[in-house]
Amino acid sequence: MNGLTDSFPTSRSRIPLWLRLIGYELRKSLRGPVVPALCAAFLLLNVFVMLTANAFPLRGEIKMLSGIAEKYGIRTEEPGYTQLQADYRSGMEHLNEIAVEKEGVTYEHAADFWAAQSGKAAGSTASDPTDSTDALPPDPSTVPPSHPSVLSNPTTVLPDSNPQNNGFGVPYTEEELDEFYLTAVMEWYAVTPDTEAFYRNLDVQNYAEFQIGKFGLSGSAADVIREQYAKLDERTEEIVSSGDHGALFFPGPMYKMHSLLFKTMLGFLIFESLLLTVLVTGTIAKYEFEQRTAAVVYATRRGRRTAADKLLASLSASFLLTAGLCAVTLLIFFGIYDYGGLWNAPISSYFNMELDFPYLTWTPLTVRTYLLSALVLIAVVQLIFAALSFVLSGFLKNSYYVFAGFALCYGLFVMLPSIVPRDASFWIYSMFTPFYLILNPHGLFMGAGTLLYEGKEWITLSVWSGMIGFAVLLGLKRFGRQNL
Amino acid sequence: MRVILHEIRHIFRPGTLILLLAFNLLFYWMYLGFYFQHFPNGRPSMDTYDIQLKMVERFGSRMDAEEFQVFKAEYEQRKLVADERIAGDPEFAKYGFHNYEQYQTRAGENPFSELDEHIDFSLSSDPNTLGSLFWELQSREWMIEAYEGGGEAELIQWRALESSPAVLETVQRRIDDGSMTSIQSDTAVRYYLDVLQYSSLLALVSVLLITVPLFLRDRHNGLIQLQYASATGRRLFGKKIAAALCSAFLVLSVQLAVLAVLFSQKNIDVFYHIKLHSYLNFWPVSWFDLTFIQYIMLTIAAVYIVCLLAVLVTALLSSVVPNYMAIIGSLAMLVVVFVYWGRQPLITDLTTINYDRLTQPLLYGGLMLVISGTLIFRWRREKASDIVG
Repeated sequence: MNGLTDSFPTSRSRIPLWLRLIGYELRKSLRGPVVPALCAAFLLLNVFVMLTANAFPLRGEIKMLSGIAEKYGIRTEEPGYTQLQADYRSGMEHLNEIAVEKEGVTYEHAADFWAAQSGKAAGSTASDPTDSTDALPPDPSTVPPSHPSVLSNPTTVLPDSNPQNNGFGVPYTEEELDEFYLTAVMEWYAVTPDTEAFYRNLDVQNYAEFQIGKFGLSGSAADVIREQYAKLDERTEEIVSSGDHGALFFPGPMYKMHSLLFKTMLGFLIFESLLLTVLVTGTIAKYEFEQRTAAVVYATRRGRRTAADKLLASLSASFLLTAGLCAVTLLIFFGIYDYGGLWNAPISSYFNMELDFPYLTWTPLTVRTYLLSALVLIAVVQLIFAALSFVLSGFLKNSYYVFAGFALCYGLFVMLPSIVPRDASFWIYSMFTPFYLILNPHGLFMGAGTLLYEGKEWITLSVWSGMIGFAVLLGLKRFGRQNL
Repeated sequence: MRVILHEIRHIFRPGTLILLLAFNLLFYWMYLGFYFQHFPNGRPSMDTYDIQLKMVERFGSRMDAEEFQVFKAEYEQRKLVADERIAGDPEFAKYGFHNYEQYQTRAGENPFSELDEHIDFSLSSDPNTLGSLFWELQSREWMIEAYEGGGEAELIQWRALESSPAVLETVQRRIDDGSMTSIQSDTAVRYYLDVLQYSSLLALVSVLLITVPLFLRDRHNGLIQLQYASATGRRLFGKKIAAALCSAFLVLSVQLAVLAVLFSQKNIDVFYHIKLHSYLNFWPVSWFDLTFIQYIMLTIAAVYIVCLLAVLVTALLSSVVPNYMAIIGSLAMLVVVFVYWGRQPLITDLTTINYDRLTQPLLYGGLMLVISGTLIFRWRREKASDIVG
C-alpha cells in the first residue's frame, strides 16, 4: 500500500481515472518477484523442452531442408521444382562418379548410398548396393525416409571431423558426405511418391467408422461423425485440386515438426499462460479482501465500481502475460529451428503427415497462418479463463479457493464427455468447451479424431465468450449489492 | 497440545475438506480408477497372470530345475490340445495349417484376418476358445524362454544401457545364486507400480492443498498481532507446523487405507512374500534382494517422507510469501519438478539399479538437511521478527 500512495500522481489527470486504476491494479499484482520469477521459470522450462526435443540434434538437416524450400520453392507446379529435379539428377551423377572411383559401385538412389554406408558403420553385412537397381523410390507413408533415419539412428556413427576416420570406415571425405546428404534430402522430394493418388484413395469414411468403434458411439453422435468425415472427404478433393497435397514440408514421420511446435510447445505455453492468468486474476479480484483494504476501497466514491476496473485489469494482465510468454518462447524456438522457406508451406501437405492420416485443415492454412490463428485462439481462451476466474471470485472467499475452484472446473469439463451418453450428438457438443479445445493444439482447425467438427473453434469461442460475458455482467451487478 | 488440536481443526475447515474431497474424487476418476477397474489389463496380461497364479500354487515361491521340467511338460500338453483342434478344423486347413507350430511360425503374416476372427482373440473370449488357448500358449512360451535364457537377455539389456560394472555384477550375482528362479508376477508388480505412480502424486497434491493457507490465512486476516500477544506467543509457529504435519499424516493414512482396500480387491497377495527378482518379472531390479511386500512397504514409507517434507516446504513458503499467487505458482513448479524429475528417484525407482546405490540415501539426506536447516533458520528469525509491516 505504501508503494501506491506515493505513486498517485496529481499532474497526470489527463489520463482517465479508469485507465489509471487499471494501471494501478496491474502494478499491484504484477510487481514484485512473484510474476517475473514465474515467467522466468516457465521460459527456462520451455527452452529446456526445446533443447531436449527429438528434433534438436537434427536441426542442421532441418535448416538444410528449409534452405531447399527457399531456393526451389515449395510447390511441384512451380518452375523451381523442375530445377530441383535437374539438380538432384546431377547430384546423383556426381555421387556415382565418386562412388565408382572409391568403392567401385553405383547407386540407384542416394538413400541406398546412405543405407549401405550405415550398414558398414554398424558392422553388419550391407546388401550389395548394385542389387538395389529395382529399389522403389522412398515412400514416406510407410517408413520414415531412409536417409534422415540413417543419420538420426542413435546407433549410427555420424561422420566426425577426421576425413580419414569418418566413422563409416569408407574413403569419403566429410565434404563429399555432406554433399551426398543434400542429394539424399533433395531425392526425398524430387522422387516424390504419388501424393495425389494417396489423397484420392484416402478412405476417410473408414476413419470415421474407426473413431465410432473406438469410442462406442451410436445414434446421432455417430451420425455427426459420419457427416463431418463426409465433408472432410470433399475437402480432401479441394486440397488436391489446390496442389497443397504435394507441397514440400519437413518430412513428418522423421522430424515431427508439427507435433513439436503445435503440440509440445503450444501445449506448454497454453498451460503456463493459463496458470498465470488464473493466478493473477484471483489475486487482483481478491486483493482488497486479502490485504484488508476492502473496507476502505469499497467505501470510496468509486466504491464497488472498482470491480469493473479489476476485471479489465485481469483481462489485460492475462493478455499481456500470454502474449509475452508466447512471443519470447517462439522467438527462441524459431531461432533454433529454422523454418526459412517453409513458412508458407501448407499444413495439409502429404509430407507433413506424421502417422497414417494427414493433417487436413478445413481452410487452406500455412505454417504461418496456422500459428497465428492458434495464437489468437489461445489468447481468446485465456481471456475467457480470466473472466471465468473473475466470476468465481465473486462466490469464493479468497484467491486460494478461486484457483482451486478453477482447477476443479477444468477437471469436470474435461471429464464431461466421459459421463455424457454416447448415442446422442450432445456427446460431440460436450467437447465444445475452451477446456477441451486447448487439449490438442496440434489438431485445431482440422479434421482429425472425434472432435473434427468444422468450425468448432469459433463456435466454441463465441458461445463461451457470450456466456462468460453475461455471467461477468451478472457478477458485477451482484457484487454491487453484495454484503461484504 | 490443545493449541495443536485447535490448529488441526482449523486446517480441516469445511471449505478445505470439500476441496480435498473433490480433488481426490476427480483424480481417482481421471487417473487411478482405470487401474483398479482393468486388472489384469488386457491380453496376454490376464493369461500370463492366471498361469503365474497356478504356478505359485503348484511350485511355491520358486521353480527349481525339476519343477521347470514339469512346467515345460504342461506346455507340451497344452500344445497337443492345440494341435488336435487345429488338425480337425477346416478353417485352418484352408490356409494349410495342420498343427500349432505351422500356424505359429506364420501367424505374424498379415492376410489372416478371417482366420483371426474365427480364432477369436478378443478380450472377452471364452476360456475354451482357440483364442484363449493361443494366448495361453504364447504366455507359456515367453516364460519358458525367459527361464531357459538364464538371464542372458537381462545381461545383454543392461550391457546395452552401458551400465556400471557394479550393476552388471549385481545382475550376474542374482543369476548365479539362483534367486532369479522365484515366481514373481510381472503383471502384479506393474499393477502396483502404476497405482503407486499416480497415488504418490495424489498424496503429494492433497497434502499441499491443506497446508497452503497455514500461515497465509492468519496474516490475511490480521491475526498475527493477536497471536503474538497471547500466552503461546511465537511458539505458535512450531505448533502450527506440528499441526500441519499431523493433518498431513492423517490425510495420507486415510488415503493409504482407501487405496489399500481398493488395491487388495484383486488377490495379488499370493505374490507378496515372493522375491522381486525373477526371470518372469523385469522390473524393478533392486540393489537388495527384496520381496514384493518389502518393496511396497519401502515405497509407502517413501511417499510419507516425501509428502511430509513437502508439507514443511509449503509451511515455510506459507510463512514468507505475500499472497496465494506466489505460493501456488511455486508449488506448481514444485509439482512439475516432482513429476518429471523427482518421482522416479524418490519413490517409484527406489533402490533400483537405475540409480547408484548411494543416490537415494544422499538425495533424502540432502533434502532433509536443507529443509530442516531452512526451518531452523526461519524459526529463529520468527522469534525475533518485527510484527509491524
